[in-house]
Amino acid sequence: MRVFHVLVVGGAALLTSGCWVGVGTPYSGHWDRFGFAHPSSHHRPWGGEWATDFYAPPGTPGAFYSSTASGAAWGLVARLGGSCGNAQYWAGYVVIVDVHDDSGRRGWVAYAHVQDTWGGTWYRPSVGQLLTNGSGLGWTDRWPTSPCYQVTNDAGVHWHLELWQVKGNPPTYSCYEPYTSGQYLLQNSPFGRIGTTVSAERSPCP
Amino acid sequence: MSMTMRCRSTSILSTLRRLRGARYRLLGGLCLASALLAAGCGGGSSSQRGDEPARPTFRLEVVAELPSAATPAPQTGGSLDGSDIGALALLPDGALLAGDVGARRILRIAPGGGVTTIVDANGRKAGGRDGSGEAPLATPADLLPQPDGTILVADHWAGCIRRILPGASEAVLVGYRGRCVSVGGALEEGPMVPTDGPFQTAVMNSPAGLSESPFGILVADSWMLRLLTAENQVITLYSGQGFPGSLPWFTSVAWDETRNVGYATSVVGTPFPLVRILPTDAGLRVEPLATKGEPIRWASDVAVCPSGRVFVAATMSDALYELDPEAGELRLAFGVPRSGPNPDPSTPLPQPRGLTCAPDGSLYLVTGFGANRIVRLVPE
Repeated sequence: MRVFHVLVVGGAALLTSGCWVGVGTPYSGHWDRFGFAHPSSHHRPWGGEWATDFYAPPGTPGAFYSSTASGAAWGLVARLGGSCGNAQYWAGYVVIVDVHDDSGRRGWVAYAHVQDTWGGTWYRPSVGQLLTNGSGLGWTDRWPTSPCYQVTNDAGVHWHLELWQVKGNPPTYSCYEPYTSGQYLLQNSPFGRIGTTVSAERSPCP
Repeated sequence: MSMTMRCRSTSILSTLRRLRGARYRLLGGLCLASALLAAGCGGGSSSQRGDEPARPTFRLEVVAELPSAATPAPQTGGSLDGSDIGALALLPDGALLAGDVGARRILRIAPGGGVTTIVDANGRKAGGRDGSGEAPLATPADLLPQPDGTILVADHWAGCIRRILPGASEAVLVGYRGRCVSVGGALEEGPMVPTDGPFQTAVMNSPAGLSESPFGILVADSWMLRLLTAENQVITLYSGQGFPGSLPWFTSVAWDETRNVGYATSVVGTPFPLVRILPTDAGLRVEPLATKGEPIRWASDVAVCPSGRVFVAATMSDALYELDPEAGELRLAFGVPRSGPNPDPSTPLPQPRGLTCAPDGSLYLVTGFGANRIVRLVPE
């Protein structure tokens, strides 16, 4: 299938053509700010195909964004969990969102280290909840330092982003937009694609 | 994540003392308490003001140290890939069970000190036979030995409670419609909407704490407290979804036989870090446990000793507290509460977890930032 796309880095809505779904950054922030979390190597605790850390100051609200060529993409909260495998460490929630378009479920995106309350306001994504573009997910926050969350100052505050797509035969994988470590992206900038024909994990999008 | 029922052996102390000289570096008897207390770090009464009740005092002994990953670098946001012990349980024969959420395995530390793997990272028993759980062991967040020799395992990220049978074969007790799920890929069946009912159709979310009670097995399951009945039913006793503010996240539950009441801890501080589970004529009722005294954040683990003493570990605060259930008062029992998000490298009880009480009232727990030091706090 031919794939056309125009990806505007700068907060404009995703404009894509083809069979994949683009996922937008939840807030404005820095992509792999310190070079420690490049998607070519960052750990993938939820079994995704690639992951990175996306940095913004504490209290930054984050939202779900996705788009296809037709514009018809949405999310369903698939699971609400703790960000750390050791439940006794606490570094915020992980919200795993199934990404759908008109053809069905295409994959998922995980947002980890999410704070659900800030300044007397709270978002409460619940399992099964429908998410459209701009639906709130929560806030960034600085959690206590632990082996699960090795952040020691506000500059290190981030959400961990992780993607996975439904497998075909032969298997295909989600991919990441090849930004430079430390690059600043506005909210709803495209950062990954689900439903691609990429043939390897941890691959940049073509 | 402990209760009195799991630690009734009278031989535990003597057997644990024999742990020295094992394959792993065991430091039983190498007491750090004197240095810590001399530095004013412990729970000693010397730091008390005259008008305060005396804090309990403990002697700290290091029982064992298991290999861990390298010192973490700042700002990576990553998890360590090495061992990360999150749960401890004592067996009747004096052995210690350890749930390793980092290396995804369950260890048995024999009374003689040998460390063996019961279930490994791939969900296979040592020796290679496949387990019957569909998804491999992910994160053994709590362990509950049963009288019949089986071990219940709260597999946090796999969304299930496994049964490790004698011989180390596996079965799923309850999970996502009767199975454990892989962390991400198993979401193919759609959202994991928590559901009550028979074990085969019920849906758990992220079980992290287990405790026997006269009414069944209590489960700390993310924002819910749930009961597994003898009739193989899952019943949600409490759900935090209906309240404003931060969603509670329950990680530990324990039953107090002395007072016939249960306790659960929530690592998210609001609306409350502790709840009480009370039997009523209509069943079990969950209510906030208002506390006074020392402010506590990140309450993550609760244990009830046979004497009725109740202890609460605050993993992210680097401290252990004692709860006076009648007065609703929390008192610092050991450690120095973290004043900010960053740990103090010299703190005496960094990130306590896996809290378990022995029959003699001593406490076993895991401590260390990025380390797995199993310690024993002996009341003095």
